[in-house]
Amino acid sequence: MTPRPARKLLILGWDAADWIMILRLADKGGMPNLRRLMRAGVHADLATLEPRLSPLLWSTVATGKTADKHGILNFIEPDADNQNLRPASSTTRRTKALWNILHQSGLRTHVVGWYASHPAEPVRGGVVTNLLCESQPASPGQPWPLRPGTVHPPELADRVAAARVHPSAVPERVLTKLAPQWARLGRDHDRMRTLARLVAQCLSVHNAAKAVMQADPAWDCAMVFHEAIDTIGHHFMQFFPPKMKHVQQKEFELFSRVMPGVYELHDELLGEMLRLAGPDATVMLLSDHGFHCGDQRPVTEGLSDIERAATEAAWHREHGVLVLQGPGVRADAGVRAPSLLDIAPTALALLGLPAGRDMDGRVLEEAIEHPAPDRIESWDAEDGDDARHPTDMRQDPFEAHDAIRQLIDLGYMAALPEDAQARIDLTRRETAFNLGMVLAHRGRAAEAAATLAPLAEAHPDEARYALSLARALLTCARFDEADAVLTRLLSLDPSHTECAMLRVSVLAAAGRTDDAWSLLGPRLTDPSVSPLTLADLCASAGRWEESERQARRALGAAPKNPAAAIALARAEIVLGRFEPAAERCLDVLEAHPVHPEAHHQLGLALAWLGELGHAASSFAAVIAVQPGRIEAHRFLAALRRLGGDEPGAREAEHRAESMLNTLAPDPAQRALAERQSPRGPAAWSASPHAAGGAP
Amino acid sequence: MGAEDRIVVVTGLPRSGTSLAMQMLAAGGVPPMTDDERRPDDDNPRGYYEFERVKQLRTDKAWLGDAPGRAVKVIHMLVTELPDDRPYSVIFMRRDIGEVVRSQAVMLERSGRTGGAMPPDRLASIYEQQLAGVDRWLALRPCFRVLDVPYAELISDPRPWPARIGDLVGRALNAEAMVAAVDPGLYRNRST
Repeated sequence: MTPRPARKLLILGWDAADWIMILRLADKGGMPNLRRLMRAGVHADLATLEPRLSPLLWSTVATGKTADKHGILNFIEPDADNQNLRPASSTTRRTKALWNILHQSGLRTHVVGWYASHPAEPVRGGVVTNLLCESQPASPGQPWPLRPGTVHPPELADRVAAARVHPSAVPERVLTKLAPQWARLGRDHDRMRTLARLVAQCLSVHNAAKAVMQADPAWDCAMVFHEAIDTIGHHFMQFFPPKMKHVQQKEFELFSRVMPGVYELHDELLGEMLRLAGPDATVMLLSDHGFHCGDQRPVTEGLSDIERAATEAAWHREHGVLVLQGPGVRADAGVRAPSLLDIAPTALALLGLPAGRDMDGRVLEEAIEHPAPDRIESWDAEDGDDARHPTDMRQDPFEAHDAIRQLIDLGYMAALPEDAQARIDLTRRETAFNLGMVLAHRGRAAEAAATLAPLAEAHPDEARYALSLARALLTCARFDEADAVLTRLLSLDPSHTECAMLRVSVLAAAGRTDDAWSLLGPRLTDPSVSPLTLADLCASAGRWEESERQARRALGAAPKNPAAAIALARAEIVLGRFEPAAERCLDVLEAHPVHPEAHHQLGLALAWLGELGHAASSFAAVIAVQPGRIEAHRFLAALRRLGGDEPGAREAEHRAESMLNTLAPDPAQRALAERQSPRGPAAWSASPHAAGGAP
Repeated sequence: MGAEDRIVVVTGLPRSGTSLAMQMLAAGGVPPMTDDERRPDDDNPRGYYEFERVKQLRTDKAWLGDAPGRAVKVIHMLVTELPDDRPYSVIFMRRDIGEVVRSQAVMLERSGRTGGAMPPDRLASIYEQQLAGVDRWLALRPCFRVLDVPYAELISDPRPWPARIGDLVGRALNAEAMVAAVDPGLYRNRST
């Protein structure tokens, strides 16, 4: 029988929770409940996925699959009435979520507040959807009916409805914690109203989770999702110290405590959850991405709604948090570069169930006491009651909209008002854009280009579409097409720096390094281009001395930025200064032990220094995290061959070849992927350094 | 509650024979609720028997007060907008979905419109989902009495249907006139 490491599993989602904030508070003695979890378990950076949009990411957490597979591609989608938009819904998801799999496996699951969970699926256990607080009345005395489909089973509905907190009922104690001087403003102040509304949602989700768990304590898995750190962060992180330039001193003083207070509030709620779950519960606490709290915070004040919507994701940092603690978790283990894709397979393994081969992540076996069960082909192919909605409800909302348009054109239904059609058209194209981004970041650049091309064609003035299309075309080595897209955008907006910089990359990749340099040279003093970007572009144009200079500027401005240190190391290696480069990489690895780029550059430096054994270890470390890194496989092959390990060399070459076939099926794309850095394995093998000794 | 209290609803996908059913009912003695705004054309030479206000059913239900005892055509996607506080007799026209989609394509082409611009198999699949959803919705509401009428069977032999429809609406209908209303020549736009 398959061992089940966790008797009960509590999965807590804290949207946008960030280690920088958590550790800063923990260092001052705050976040006591989370600190206890961290001490008793394991914790790590959790890598996010692109695009960093919460419905996509939390659906990935719930399914173990990327958004192109699970089908949740936007915050909103057309409603069944064909006139309005609704939050992304459970009927749009194209694959089984954890709660479906657990239901099918005979387990009891509670799901509260999870993105895209409305209408509630009839799982064994309890479901409260993410529309819990919809239709909130202006005052607490007025009726506040639950939206149909919010709670399963229906007999829990009264209890859940009563658990909701109206914004006017957020306790003064909580408001004081977040904004100590709030009483000077009163609850009717705009920002206080926003704050109270978002805190009320947070407390409502917490109370609803407690109500469900108390009503049905015999659960195997409980999944509770809080979005307040993200939603409040988008409004109030601008007031966190240090003061941003655009923030008025008065507002800074009033609201600078909001974000620390929100984290402390979550910790308080965590304590209650842990007490309710009991000491035998295994806990996974995670966030989908981080949230900038320092000098990388974007300025969104004064932007139009559309500009603001496009900028909001810039708040999201690439790493979220992961904490694992409790029975079944190896407290002494490290977790190796986990990503959001690994959560569902790991949750299944903790509950003694296999992951599907169609899930995109891995089981974090290094952190689990028992080996995971062998994977099955796909949970979607397993017949049985999975508590999903009937098939007639599970529709692609855009296809359903198209079918209605057919009825309108046939004259059987009234035409949509123009503004409704415009809203739906905008939602459709943003959804297609998100799909394009997902495909691009999954290494499916040709499909991404095919998805993005019609958008860029129809909306030439929308820079995001053109830039993303050009990046996809660049990855496909379709340089002329990429150049045409960027040239058109530059003709509309000659001052578009990002477009100009991307064109430099395209020209350099096409081998037109002189053209690239003539475009780049005049921009070297452009303050809107970061030195790090300039360092990368100079490198791509083969201007290594300038790349080194810009990398030093970047490192001077941010001495702890690993990307700047690595950019400098890369230039130093090409310029033949291997020892300082190796030292620099080792410094980065001391702070970030699994940083694949640092391992890679270190491997290069060591190989050229003749430290072949250590170089081989570095490349092996790269491959452990980034198995698609072709140059690392090639270098490893060369090092093994030199050491007389011909079978090992051939195996590494074979892997490089497989990766090439997978990642770059097209000959032009292949040529681009095979292009090596000036200090790559071919140059090294042909150099006297290759005779330095056996690894 | 008498037959005169029931609203007779004819529903189904566009091009599934709903106009034909309305013609039969009118011939049989159930007065149609129609405003004749949509005139007969090559696609429906005998008329559409439509009532424009039905298209606004989501926001305007007042006209239902005049509907008891009469027959009204309601597209399948609007059936679920009917309030479930009164009795209905529903004639649900069923036609092979491939035929429906092809017939719609011909109609759209004639009118110079694009429709949903979807592959026919996807459109057929969505229509099937929509119909299943309407069926499920109707099954949960006892005030809707439903008779499924397969279009192909009706065309090939209309004779048994007046009695069945009479049972549904709760009154004796003019069977001879109803059968005469069926013109097999209208069974067009199918692949065979």
